[in-house]
Amino acid sequence: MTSRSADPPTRSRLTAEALSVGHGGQAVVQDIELDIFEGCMTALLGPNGSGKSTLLAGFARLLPALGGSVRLDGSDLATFPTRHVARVLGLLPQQPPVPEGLSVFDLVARGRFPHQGFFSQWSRQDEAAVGEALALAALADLADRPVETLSGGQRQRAWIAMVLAQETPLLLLDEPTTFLDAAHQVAILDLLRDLVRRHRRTVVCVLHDLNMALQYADRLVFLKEGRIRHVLTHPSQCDGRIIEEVFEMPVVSLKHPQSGLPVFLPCASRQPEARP
Amino acid sequence: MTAMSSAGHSRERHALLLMLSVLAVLAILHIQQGARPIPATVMLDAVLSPDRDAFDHFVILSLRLPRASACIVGGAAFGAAGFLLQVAMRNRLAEPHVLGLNAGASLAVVLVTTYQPVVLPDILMPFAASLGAAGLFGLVLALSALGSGRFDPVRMVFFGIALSALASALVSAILILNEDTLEQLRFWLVGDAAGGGAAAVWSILPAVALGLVAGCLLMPQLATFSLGESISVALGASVHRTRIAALVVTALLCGSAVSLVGPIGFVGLMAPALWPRLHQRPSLGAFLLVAGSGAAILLAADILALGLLAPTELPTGALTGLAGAPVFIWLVARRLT
Repeated sequence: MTSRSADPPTRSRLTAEALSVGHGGQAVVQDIELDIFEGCMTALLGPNGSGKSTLLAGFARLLPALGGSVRLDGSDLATFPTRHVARVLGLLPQQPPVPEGLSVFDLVARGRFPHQGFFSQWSRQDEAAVGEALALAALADLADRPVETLSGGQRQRAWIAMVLAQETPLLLLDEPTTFLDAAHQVAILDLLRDLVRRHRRTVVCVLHDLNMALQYADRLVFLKEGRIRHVLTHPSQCDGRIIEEVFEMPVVSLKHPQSGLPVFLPCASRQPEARP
Repeated sequence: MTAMSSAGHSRERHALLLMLSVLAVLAILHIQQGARPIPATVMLDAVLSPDRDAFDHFVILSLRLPRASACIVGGAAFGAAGFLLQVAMRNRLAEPHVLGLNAGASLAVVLVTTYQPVVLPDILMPFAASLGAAGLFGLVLALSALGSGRFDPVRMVFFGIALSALASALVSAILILNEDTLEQLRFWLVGDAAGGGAAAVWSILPAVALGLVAGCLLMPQLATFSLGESISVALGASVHRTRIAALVVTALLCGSAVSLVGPIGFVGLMAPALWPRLHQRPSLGAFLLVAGSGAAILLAADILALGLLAPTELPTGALTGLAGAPVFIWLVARRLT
């Protein structure tokens, strides 16, 4: 944790301005003002239905802005050709389908689509990018394995490798660690932090596990009922009041003995069940 | 790494070679077959140095070769159309015959032949048939998306069958009222490769070539479809435009094939099903493989149609139906379990 960057974030790559996003004309998130700073890992947090995934989908142009705009390096995201956006912005949606019959290599190679033209179908550069993505995700040995034979954690790493092969400076991930056990969660989050620290990538991810987010993210954004409630520029700013307000659950605060960062545990039930 | 990416390519190359050799064998068998046995050497002679006065040469050049070519061109178009439709809709059960494209194309051909609103040159007939296919399929899509805004696969099959029945009823009504057209189209309507001879094959070639080239160009975009719509968009594929283009090309291929050999079903279902997991990896090679397999299937069906009850000829469409319907049921059953 000592490597957490102390420098102030440089510039905003992705900006929401008075943004509303939703489905079928119905806004799920509203009046969002948010900067995603370069070289940072930003975590979107909040209770179920708070609009985290919807906001991420808005950032990734999967859902159009119902009001306001998303700006990519200062210009409206909607004005860029979709292929150009795909070279800057990578996305891993929540629970992507399991592609039957594709090898890990095939799947990761699909990430090269935005870099390929009609006539230049597969280049040396593509080969190198896929190789590097496989190495980063520690999947080089499994490249020939069919994706459906992988374990949950390996499969998630394969999807992340596909997004890495896209070679985008910005990565958006929707719950990349959900359904994984603690060790696999840590492996994914270590990988993401490595991308931010060593490769200067900018990562935005929706996370469910509050304490994991506190240990790994540089900036925390709390959403509730479709609006941003708190933006913390460092996890140490998080306290019990924020958590109780956003999650409507009494908590006790602790300090992680190694990182010194806050950890929150739910209060023991005030009416404990009678034990035999 | 190079070895790994080329492993897929060499597998594809092997499959293509296998398909081409089977196709060649079937073509030779097909041409040899008939009331009059003709040795293979004469066949070669007829193609390389045709002699107008030799009866065998006449039989081969003006009867058997056109019929085999009709099977190859029509089968390739049906096979390619089925694959495009299945990949674009992300539904392995999507089949041009089941979803109403064949019935729409038939209706268009029957309407144009009977009422001749404009005198169409032969080369434009495939396009008229394609318009019919696109029209009826458009209706199937609109009805199956009604209310939900999504293309539910099961609803698509239901509406495809219902509208096909409606179009077939219209075709029957028109034909009963117009005996001349009935006489002209009777065999074509049940699927018949003997139909128009060499001239008819030449007249659909431009439309089929256009469709095959366009299909090839769509393959890289379609390859992202198997990862789900969100990832397609995230990878920068133009999902809606690609899907619409793929459906237009499907209608073009399917309409052209129907205008040549009649509404033959299930080739578009069987051709991709021959190769494991082809739908996950649309590519130029996969597309050519499916087109070639379609050609081989139709050739094989026609060989059986000619030979099974010789000298009585069965309609080619009956044979693909006999083989295709069980494949369709098998695919549905596998989905349900």
